Amino acid sequence: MIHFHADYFDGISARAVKVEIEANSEEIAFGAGGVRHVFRLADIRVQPKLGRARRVIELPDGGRLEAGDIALLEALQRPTGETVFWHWLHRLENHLGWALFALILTLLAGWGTINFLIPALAEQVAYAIPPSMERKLGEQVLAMMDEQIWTVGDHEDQSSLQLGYFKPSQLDQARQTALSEQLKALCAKQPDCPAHELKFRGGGKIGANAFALPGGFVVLTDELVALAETDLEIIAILMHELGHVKMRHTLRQTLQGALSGLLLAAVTGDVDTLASGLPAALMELRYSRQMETEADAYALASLRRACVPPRLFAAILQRLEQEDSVSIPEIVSTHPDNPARLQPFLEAKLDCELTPGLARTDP
Amino acid sequence: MFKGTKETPIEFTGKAGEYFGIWIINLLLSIVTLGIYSAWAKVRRKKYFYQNTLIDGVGFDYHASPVAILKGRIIAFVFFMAYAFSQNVSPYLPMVFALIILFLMPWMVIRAMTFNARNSSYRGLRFDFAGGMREALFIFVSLPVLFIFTLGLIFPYMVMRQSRYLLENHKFGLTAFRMNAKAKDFYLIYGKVLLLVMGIGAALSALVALSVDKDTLLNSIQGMQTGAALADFGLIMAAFILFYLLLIVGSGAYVQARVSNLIWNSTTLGNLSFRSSLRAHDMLWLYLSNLMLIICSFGLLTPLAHIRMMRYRTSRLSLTGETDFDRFVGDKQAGVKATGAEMADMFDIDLSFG
Repeated sequence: MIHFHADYFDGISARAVKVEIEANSEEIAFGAGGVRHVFRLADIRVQPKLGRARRVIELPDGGRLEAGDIALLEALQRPTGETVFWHWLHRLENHLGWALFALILTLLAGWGTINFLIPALAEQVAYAIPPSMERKLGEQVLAMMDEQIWTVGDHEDQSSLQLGYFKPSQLDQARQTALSEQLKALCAKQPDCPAHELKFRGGGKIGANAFALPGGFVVLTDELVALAETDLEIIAILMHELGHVKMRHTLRQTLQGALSGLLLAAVTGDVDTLASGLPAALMELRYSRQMETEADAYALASLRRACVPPRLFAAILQRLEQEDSVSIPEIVSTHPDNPARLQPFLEAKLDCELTPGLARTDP
Repeated sequence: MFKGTKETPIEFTGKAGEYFGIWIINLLLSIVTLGIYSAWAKVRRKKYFYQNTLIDGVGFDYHASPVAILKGRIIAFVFFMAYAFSQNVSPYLPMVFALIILFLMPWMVIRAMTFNARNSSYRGLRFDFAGGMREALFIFVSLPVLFIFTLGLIFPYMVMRQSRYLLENHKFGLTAFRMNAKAKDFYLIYGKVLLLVMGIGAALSALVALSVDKDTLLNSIQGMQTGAALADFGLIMAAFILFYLLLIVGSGAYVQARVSNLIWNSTTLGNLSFRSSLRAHDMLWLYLSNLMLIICSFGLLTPLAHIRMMRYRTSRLSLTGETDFDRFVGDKQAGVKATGAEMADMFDIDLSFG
């Protein structure tokens, strides 16, 4: 039999009544206002400990008891999975050492989630999305990137707002067809060439560049065509982009952004939104690096199979890097370590005949 | 204050160090459970703040079931996903979603208020919320639409109606809250802020118009290639943004302090009334210093920021009148039945995302 003091609230009035409680391993009993209350220990609910706040016992009839310390009562209760969990949680929360340990674990868990879990999840979702839907998305993105000019104001004071970047391609139809045919010839050599559609555009502000959009759209700018010394260099770059298409990188990256945003929103119901923007921005960078490496590997393997010298890829990339342009092509910028990246392309030795249909226009 | 009226302070006993532990464990478990634990985390966080807010030595309590909160979050998650992908199906779908949200808003506000009130208690008595749908539609849909057509002129009136609706439909036990503030008082607060902001804005614009050549500005916007012009433009923009940010935060702090004071000082609960004395410059200092704390610690000092804000707000709020809590009664039987029926209801979900 144990005794302790508590404030009793009957749930009908807000009045606090000081009571003395006696309890054994079966029952808890107290007298208030001339009435004796008895409850079975199994029916009462002891609220888990939280900070140094007063302890609360919820009674089955809607009343409650509040007391400073009820360790004696807790000792009487049979521990269940739930009470053990709350007990450990409280211990974790109240020891700075544990809290710091938790902090490190939090950072690790966050890092793991961002680097492995979300990419894996995004990959699953990306492959589950029907190709028709992905195509529509790609069409929309391309439409947004194409130049549109909005004009506002009257004749005297006119100003125009320019949206998008791409201008119509200046390449003639024969040249476009020639490049498409060569890409097709190289693709035919591959066991796993993804469905794609080549789009020619004037780069505008973007300059020399090539992109993979969702739905298999590959955009090639006139400036990049002009920069290339041989057509094979262009084809080499396009194979890198087809690597992105094959592994659905663009869609996956978009999904990763959306998923991490959602996860952060769910988690940060308890944190400020301000702090949550930072990791999201940081992970964007990491993803693309890994994806670039994958696309490089695809390009290298494809070029070898078709007997296109891989050093051509390195050659045009180095030229791109030297281009003094406002926007640095994605293919260059996301790799801080270009020499190391290009090493395998420079070292690759080939002893075979170039695939027919590809034009060797080496100087 | 006349004789016999005593003032009862509201105490806040939360400690930043203690809350840091709770906060960090909440964060950790939320991450490793992919956000599922966040519902339990919310209950624990709210309980901590409630149980450490004391009147007369007795704390508040929060009783929400984490599962109900989780349900609400799952619905929001599904809705968000549907919204995010609706654009790919048809460009009109997002608009449809926005309309649905607009008309669901009043219902969501009522649900969130009811959920929160019924799960909050003090001295064993639950709070309750009983706002009607018709008035909610007027306040949260019609008035915002009118707000656009009246060029914002009805904004103070809208704030008054919304505050009154939210407050007067709240009950402690069986006793309802009353708010006596008039629209005129709200207009006075917002009018003052508007005049001040417009004055500063006009002075600044005049200064800029005198010092910056329009063509240079246009060129640097359109050109974007010349590094020097870009850097200049960036510097000017940064100064602009910083100043306007300060102006916005400053007027925000003023409005927050004054409107809170107005509402609380005109609120009664039975024989009790409230006294709120928030000060704009204290609030501004708290906002800015909290922001700096959070940024400089990469978010780690967020718990300290929360505790500081709560400590200040409670220190500036007190109860006046005879705090004779014996007067307050609840209807326990009906209360239990109502919540019992509510539990079985599939709409017993938390739709507030705080």
